[in-house]
Amino acid sequence: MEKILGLRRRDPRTPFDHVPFHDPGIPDISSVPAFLFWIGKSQWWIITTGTFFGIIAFSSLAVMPGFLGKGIQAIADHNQADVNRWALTIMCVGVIQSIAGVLRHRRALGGWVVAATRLQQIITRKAASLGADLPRLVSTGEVVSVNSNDVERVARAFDLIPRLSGAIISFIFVSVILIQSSPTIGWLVVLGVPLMSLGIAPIIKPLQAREAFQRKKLSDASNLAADTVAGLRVLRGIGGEDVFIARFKSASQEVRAAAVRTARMRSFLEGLQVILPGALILGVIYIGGNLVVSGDLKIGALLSFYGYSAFLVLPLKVLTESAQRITSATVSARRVINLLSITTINNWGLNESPNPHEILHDGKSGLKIFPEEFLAIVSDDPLLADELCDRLGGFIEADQVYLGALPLTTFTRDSIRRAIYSQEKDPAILSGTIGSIFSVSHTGRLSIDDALQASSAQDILDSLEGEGLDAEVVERGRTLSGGQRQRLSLARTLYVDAPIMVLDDPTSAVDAHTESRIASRLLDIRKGRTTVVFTNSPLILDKADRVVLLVQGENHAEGVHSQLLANSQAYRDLVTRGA
Amino acid sequence: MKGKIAAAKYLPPSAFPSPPKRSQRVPKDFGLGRASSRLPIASGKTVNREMLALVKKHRHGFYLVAALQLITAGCALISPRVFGNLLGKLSTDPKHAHIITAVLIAGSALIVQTLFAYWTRVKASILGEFVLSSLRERFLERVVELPPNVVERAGSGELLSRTTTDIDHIQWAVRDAVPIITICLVSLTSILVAIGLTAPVFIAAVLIGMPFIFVVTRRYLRRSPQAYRTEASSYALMNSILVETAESGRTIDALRLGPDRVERSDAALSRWIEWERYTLRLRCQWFPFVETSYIFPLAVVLLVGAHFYNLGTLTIAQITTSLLYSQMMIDPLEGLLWWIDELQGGKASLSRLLGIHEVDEREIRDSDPDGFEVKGENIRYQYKTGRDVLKGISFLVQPGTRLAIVGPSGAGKSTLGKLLAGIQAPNSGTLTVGMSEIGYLPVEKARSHVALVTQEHHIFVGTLAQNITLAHPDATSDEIWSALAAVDADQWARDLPEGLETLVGTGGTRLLATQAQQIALARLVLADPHTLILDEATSLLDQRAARHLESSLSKVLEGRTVIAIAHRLQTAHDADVIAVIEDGKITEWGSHQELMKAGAAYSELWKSWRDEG
Repeated sequence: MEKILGLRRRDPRTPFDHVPFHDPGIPDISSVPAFLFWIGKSQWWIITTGTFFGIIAFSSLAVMPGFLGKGIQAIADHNQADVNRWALTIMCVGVIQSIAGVLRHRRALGGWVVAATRLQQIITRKAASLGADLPRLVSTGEVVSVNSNDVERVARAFDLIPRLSGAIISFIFVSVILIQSSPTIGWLVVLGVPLMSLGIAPIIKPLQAREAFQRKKLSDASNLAADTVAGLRVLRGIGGEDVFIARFKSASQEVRAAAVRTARMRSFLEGLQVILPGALILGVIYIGGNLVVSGDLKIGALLSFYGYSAFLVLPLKVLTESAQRITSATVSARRVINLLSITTINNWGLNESPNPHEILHDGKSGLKIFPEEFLAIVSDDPLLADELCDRLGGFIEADQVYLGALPLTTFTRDSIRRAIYSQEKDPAILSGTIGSIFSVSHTGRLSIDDALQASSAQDILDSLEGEGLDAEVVERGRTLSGGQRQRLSLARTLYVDAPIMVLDDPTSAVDAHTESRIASRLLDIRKGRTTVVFTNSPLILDKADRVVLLVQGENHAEGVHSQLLANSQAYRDLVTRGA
Repeated sequence: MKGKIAAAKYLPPSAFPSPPKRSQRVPKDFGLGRASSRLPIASGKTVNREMLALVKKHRHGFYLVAALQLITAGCALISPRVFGNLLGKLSTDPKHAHIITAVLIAGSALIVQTLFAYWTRVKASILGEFVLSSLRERFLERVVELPPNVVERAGSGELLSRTTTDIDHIQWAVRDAVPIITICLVSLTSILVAIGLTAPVFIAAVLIGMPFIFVVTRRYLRRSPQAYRTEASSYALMNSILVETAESGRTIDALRLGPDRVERSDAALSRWIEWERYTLRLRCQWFPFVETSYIFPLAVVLLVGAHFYNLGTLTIAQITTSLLYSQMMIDPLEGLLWWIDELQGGKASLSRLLGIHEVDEREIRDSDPDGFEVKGENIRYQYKTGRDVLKGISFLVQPGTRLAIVGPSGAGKSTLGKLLAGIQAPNSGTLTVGMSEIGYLPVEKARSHVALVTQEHHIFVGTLAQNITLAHPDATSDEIWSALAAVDADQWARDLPEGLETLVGTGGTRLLATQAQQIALARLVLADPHTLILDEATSLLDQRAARHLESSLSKVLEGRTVIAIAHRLQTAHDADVIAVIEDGKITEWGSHQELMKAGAAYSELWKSWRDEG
């Protein structure tokens, strides 16, 4: 009983105490109905109890006009006992209605929270499992809009069920009462109310179109504002504020114009919602009044009819709203399903144990990387270098890269990531504390301090708010300078300490002194491990065991730095600094 | 406990705390996040004053809406009265004629009511939209006028969230809440008056629930606004975690952080759910009491009515009419409570928006620079007290000089750059451009003399041409092309699908970071100040491209003073004068040859950079 009522004195329970889930499960994404059914099935208890209370709440509202009519009739009949009885009944029904109402609300909210939580969890897991493929396959904007708008719309459908079922049942309930007490008025009301909704229906579509247009204008204006603010430093530095204010003002005025257009139509709809039920009630009064004159109807009953026909507008509103909500829920469910149907680009295998002490061989360029060497690569085309860096890490075309004799795709993705760590040109710093940035899987051979030291990054900690590992990096490191970001991500990479490490231009934004320090420490810290660095910096090239010069992605020359410097004009052109 | 996830481990310290225990109030600053301290937030008093001023300014609109609603509400009151009278007449004198009269009167009232209801709503919306649009325009106007040092300090995140999220939050409050509250108040008053006119004794009966509603509602409203704000913000936190997961997919994948992202997002979800639970509890302590208070007056009207009917002082008509009237009160009462709630929520956002108006103006000492000489005398600057970043710097830069500033990270180079551009004024010492203290000049004047380009770049939504002509909206396309040529960008610009008219920025053609950097420099060429500060302005280009760009740029900037901060010593090599900054002081000053001869830090740096060391 406690579970049903959700009332316990000390520890108030809610219908969504069990979320977030440890495992949100695997949804059925074969079709939209199957998907919605899968969500509903898992929360059938909330839906069932919610529906139960929804019916009670609506029905207690529905019977109210009947009791008021009886009360008036009792007064007219000078029957004090009946008056007392009906007044008491009205109070009781009022109390029942508000209790059932709040219990229904708890379950309706529960239905939406549980569904939204489950969907968000599923989407997050999907996004996390797609990893590097995600940004290649869908835009961030798309992911976010599915996660916020579409999830909300799908989940709202579950918040609707208790109210919708209450509305339908109470509509039938009242119709039966009306037809039984007076078939003429009964049928007038029962047919009149749906007819009214048909009368309103043609306006809904154009109204929604205007609303959509208004939303579009609003999002245009707020994008413009956001863009202006994002570039505010530039703007304050060089000028042009007036132009931007003028642009924003005209966008804002367009929003206003669109909103007023919508408001006119909505006001028209509201006008119809006044006049149509009003006309129906007049009809009821006219017919009912005549029945009273002819003696077929009591006065109290006429008052009840008046109340019933006014009440029926409420379930009608719920029905109209439901139709709109269910439509948008199915559209959104389709978009959620589309996101969930995305699969990874590479077909990964099952082999769990790649051997990092084998030769790493890139089939496309013919490049071979030998175990435990420190290889530097100079490329004349930075874009081709980025591509090779991705390929060696198994992020793209993983089937064309071999570890020993086996293509990378023979192995599981996780085991390849463990064996080979490939750092892109501008790696992301995730927001959080320094401690959380370094809470990544690592071999444990190096401490965070060792890693910070090797990448000359200790000074960054001093520039942040908070002490030591609690220092917080905000806005995804955007407040750090380019050089600071670069050194911090290098420290993180070194800390991971992967057997094979590939770095794409890791010192492009640091000053010469620091670069030279990093170059020698890098060599020390990577002793006995395989390291590949894409760079043009003579400071690092000089330290490498072997240097490969790639021209248009092809192995053009190789040797140690000094040899290449002496023998290759192309190499000199690429790496020589100064006049 | 099942489903409980250790939030502390996965949420950033600036995330929102858990909701308070039972019966505690939500602290005022919940949901505002930590960054809020960097920009002021208006006090409750200011917000109230501003809201009142807003209402006053648009008072004619409000009067009109109130007057129209008075007519609407008046018409709505006719029908119950007519119906009550009809019942009364029919109970004593059942005649067909009564019905016809009643339906005719009620029907005409209904038509007038509909027309006026439409008119009221339209006028109310127009008023709301007008107030809202002027509020958001005024806000953005103020934002773009913020002193540059405030913009630097606040960071774009905080300003962005005020511009987007907070403006979004007040939409409802300003546009709908104020007009609808007016409408509801007018309706309630006119119903009460109508009851008074029908049978004064019932006024007491319908007001019986009011004190109770007042008490529970006050309790609710004290806790709800902040709670809802925090709930919404913690929901937004989940989204921002996902944005990060999606944008940083490559890094997360490489670091095998997938499971960690899932935990993080689940932790944020639990936090959001805690708040959903808290606000649900608030509503559960409010809803049922208020709803019961709507119904009780009906029973009371019946009981009181029966008593006076038996005494013969009230008629069936009066009782029925009053019963219908007290039922009619439910709608505006509900609307009133609902919108007051919304208004409270909007107030939190409004206080953040209005806070922008309270930013301290920076000190202005206007004067007209005379000449182009840049001179620093014993400049000191500190971000935190006791930690000088610049420790007494003096220098003199002759007009037309190309000066390169080099030195290790953290030595204070970028700080000096900001001071040179007048974004900040030094704590002590003077920094003058043409004898005027640049840090105290009005922004517009300062930037017509000195401009700063940093490695931070932004491409605005718009055409390529619009992006370049910021400072110079009426530049001809020839001028734009020559500016592009000066930064080596004419080649790729010509290859764009629609040349200068190509849409760039978010949603348009994507430009590379290097191209964005070139655009930043092209803007500067068009703005044409006599002194330019370039803080790592070519750092994203590869070294050969950077050097080529710098040489073609310097041809265009012949005669201008260029102060370049760079980590690439190439830039220093090509400059007329080099300043080496170490630990907040200038340690070396001279041309490349002179400094190489001196054999101190610079020559060491040069040798190691060229790998000759």
